[in-house]
Amino acid sequence: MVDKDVGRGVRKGSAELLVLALVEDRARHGYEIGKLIEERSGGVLKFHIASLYPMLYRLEKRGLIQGRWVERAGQRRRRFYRITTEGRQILERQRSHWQEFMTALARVAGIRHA
Amino acid sequence: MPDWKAHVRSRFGSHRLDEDVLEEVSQHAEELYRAAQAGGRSDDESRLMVEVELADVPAVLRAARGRQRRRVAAAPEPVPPGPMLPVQSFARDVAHGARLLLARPFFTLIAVTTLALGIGANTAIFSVVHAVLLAPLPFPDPHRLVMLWEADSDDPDDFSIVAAPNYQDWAALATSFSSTAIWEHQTFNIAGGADPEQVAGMRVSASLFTLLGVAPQIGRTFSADEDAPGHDVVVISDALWRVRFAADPAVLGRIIRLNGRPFEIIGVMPGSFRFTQQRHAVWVPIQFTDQDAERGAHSFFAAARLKDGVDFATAKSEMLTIGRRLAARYEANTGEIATISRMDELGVEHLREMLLMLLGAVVLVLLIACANVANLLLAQAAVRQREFAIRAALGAGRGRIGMQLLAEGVLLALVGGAAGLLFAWAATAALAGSLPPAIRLAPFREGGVIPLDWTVLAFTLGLATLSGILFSMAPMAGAWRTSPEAALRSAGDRGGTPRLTWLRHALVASEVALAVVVLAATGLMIKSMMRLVAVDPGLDATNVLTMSMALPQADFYGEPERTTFCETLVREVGSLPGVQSVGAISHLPLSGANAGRGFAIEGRPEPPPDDSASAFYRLTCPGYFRTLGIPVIAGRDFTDDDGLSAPRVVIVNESAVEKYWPGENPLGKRIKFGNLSSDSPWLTIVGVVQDVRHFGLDTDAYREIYRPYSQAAWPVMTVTARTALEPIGMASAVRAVLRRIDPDQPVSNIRSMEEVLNESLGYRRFPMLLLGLFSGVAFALAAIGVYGVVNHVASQRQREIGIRMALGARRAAVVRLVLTRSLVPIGVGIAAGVLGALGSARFLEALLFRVRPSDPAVLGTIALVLGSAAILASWIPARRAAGVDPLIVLRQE
Repeated sequence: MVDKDVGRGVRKGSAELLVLALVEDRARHGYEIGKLIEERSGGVLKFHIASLYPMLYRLEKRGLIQGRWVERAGQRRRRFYRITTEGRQILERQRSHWQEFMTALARVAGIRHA
Repeated sequence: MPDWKAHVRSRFGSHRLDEDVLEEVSQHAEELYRAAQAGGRSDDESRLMVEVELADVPAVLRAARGRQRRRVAAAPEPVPPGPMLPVQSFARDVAHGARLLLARPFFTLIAVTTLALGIGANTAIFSVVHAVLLAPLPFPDPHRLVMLWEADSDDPDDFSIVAAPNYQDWAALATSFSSTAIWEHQTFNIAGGADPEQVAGMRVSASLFTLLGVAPQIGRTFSADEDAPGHDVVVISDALWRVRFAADPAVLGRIIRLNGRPFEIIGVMPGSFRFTQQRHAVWVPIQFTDQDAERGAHSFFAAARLKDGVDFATAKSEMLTIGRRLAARYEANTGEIATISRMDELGVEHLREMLLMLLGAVVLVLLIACANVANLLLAQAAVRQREFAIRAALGAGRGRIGMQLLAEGVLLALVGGAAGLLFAWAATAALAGSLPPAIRLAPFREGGVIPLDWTVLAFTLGLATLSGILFSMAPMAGAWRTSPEAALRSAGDRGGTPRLTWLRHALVASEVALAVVVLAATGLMIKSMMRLVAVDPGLDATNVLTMSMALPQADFYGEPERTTFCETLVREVGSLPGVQSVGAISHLPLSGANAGRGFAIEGRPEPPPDDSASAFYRLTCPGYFRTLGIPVIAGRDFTDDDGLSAPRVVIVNESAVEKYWPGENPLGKRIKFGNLSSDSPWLTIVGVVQDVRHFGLDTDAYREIYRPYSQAAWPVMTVTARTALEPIGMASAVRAVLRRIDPDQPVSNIRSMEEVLNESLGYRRFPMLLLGLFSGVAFALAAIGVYGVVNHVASQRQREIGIRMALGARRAAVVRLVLTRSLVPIGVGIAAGVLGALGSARFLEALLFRVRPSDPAVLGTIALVLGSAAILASWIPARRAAGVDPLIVLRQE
């Protein structure tokens, strides 16, 4: 039970962080982003199309990421997202907020288990 | 493959179509379908999975509105990853650590207090070690300063003070030294005025001040020609200048009377000058007498400064050679060699072992504290596993997470270190008052002051950082051992793989082991002290008042000018109400004062010079033995009739009889000081008294010869009075009588004999009390540590316990189950601790008295006490774990 609760909390509060972090180092397309989140969280965190793309578009509208269609010879064109300067700043801020959130989580959990 | 583009288009329904979104989403659907197929799913299953994904596709479309569209033909430009600088990321870790500490005030308080105790105690002891053993002497180029000694050729480490002719030969022959100096300690009476005063001072060679490299703040020091008699000049201390001359800058040329003789003040030393102790107030020229010219008269200290380029070993071997040459040339030097030691070791050699032992013990306490904090952090890390897992999932490597834990740990340790400094500051202030005289009066050091200076601060900083690194390893090991997937999935588990439980138990075992070592040391010291105070000092110290009185005369050690001093003293002080008996002695037992004389025995052949008879030399007033409760075994005590006109008499102690008159009746036998041909008078033995342990309860009694003051003078006598009630209450009455007897002579050192006895134990009591304190801390920390771990482990096993109880296990069986697990680390810890105590015994040996470091009673008791405490600390959480309702535990799962 706790598993899902935490998962929901993570999805609600930190989805943007997850996406920004994944496109921090290199540009990635939507499917790759969704797949990486699922893989690296051991399957705990999973975004459906209906939640992943609206988020990508919202981030793009806010200027935090930038999507570009890329066409390579012999392949279908794909849309790659990469982080913007502003996105990088937000990511740093989010990381620090995230740490605070984890602290609070640890504290609450600690009290509950004491 | 289904046409996902068409399918997605149909799902858009009446919404306005966005080709880009359609393309992107349908590509995603295709990839999902392909992946599901590749994963072995059937076509239907794969379709269903994608369908689920495509639920609420219009929401995607809504979100896409207003989005800026761009098309590019080129491949995406590589985006620089823009890594953070290490400093930035470390600063972020520290800031994060600070937030964590603030967010967990209870944890922080416990951890910081634990660390403050450990680090603070280390800082306090280190500051004593630093002040006494490590701080350089307060002179320029201090490492080139050495002491010169005579030594026994059979035992080169048995240094002794120096005869002036030997010093003069060394100074002339040695090529290793750029300069040499000689001095003798002396007590001076500053008479005249309302307040006669007794001060410590020295006769010094003029070269001393240049050797040390110090200059006076006013005036000058001695010139070389003032080393010869006929120059009554004096250099005084800053303290004396301020107290007696109100810091008058025109003090030069003024006359001060020392031991009744006028001296002209030619210089004032700076306030920082301590040679050899703060209390030294006057320095007069050495001006050797005829008596000093004897090679057998060892009463001087000598020092030298090594020439540039000459090392200690070279100088030492040169002195050895010179000493051998002198031994071959002079009969009095037979069996003697010359040697050197470092000046900064003077008076502190014997403290080294004790202080290093204390430092060792306090480091063990810190290790216990670190183990406790490591345990706390491990418990925290278990709760934070999810945080680490998510960070790892987001790409943080082991190094990053390790750095973060390290930053948090070091930050915690530094806060603990800062609190520890406060603790150390208070502790050193408290310690300063209870330092044993050996530390308080250590040469060249500022007596009783333990500075917390930059070196100490650097030590604390280093120690705190090291502690932080040390205890951060536990949570690091915890964070690294756990895979992100496992941590994220094991949400219901309270963290802690079996590996971590093992680590916790290892920490418990080390805490118990370290505590056993510290407690065993304390136990051995306490047992030593118990054995020591049970030793009969040979006197009865209860209700005896003692005070020193100066009795100077032109010929200090000749016939007494105050022939009736003892008679008057006994009559006047003895008539005070409450005084039961009165006496006086030149060298009060256990006070550290001493003198020795060689003598010849009538009717025996002259022995070789290095085998002549010798004994400690004392002057007494009649009534001294009765006052101190020293039984006269044979013959009689001195009386007022033993004056200058009566035959010269002595009393000897049992040890002297045993050595020189074994099986004989010594009464009536005669001796004389010096050799048989000396012109000193024959002295008849009229009494034998019981031995007294003059140097301390741990030192055997030595041969002693007592003479009546009425036949031979001594410049300082200690008056002793046995009182009916508490002796210090009589002090002012006795002092008033002494002032009446001689208003010019200062009275000092007013103490009860019990105080004197207690102070003689200070050298052992000080480390014992400190060790006792450390043991208390070690014991408490270890017990808390055991409790914390067993509690944690038991709560981790609650589910198992619940199932066992639901299946009918009894409470007692559950308690036993939890207890048995903790017994293993406790048992291992105690066994390792006992081995550790045996291994560290050699550091303790010098401080023990009639107790072996492997004393089975002490080690057994400590093992039993700590073991019981640890079991009790485990039993409490075990009982609580067994008290839970199995239904509640199972329902939680």
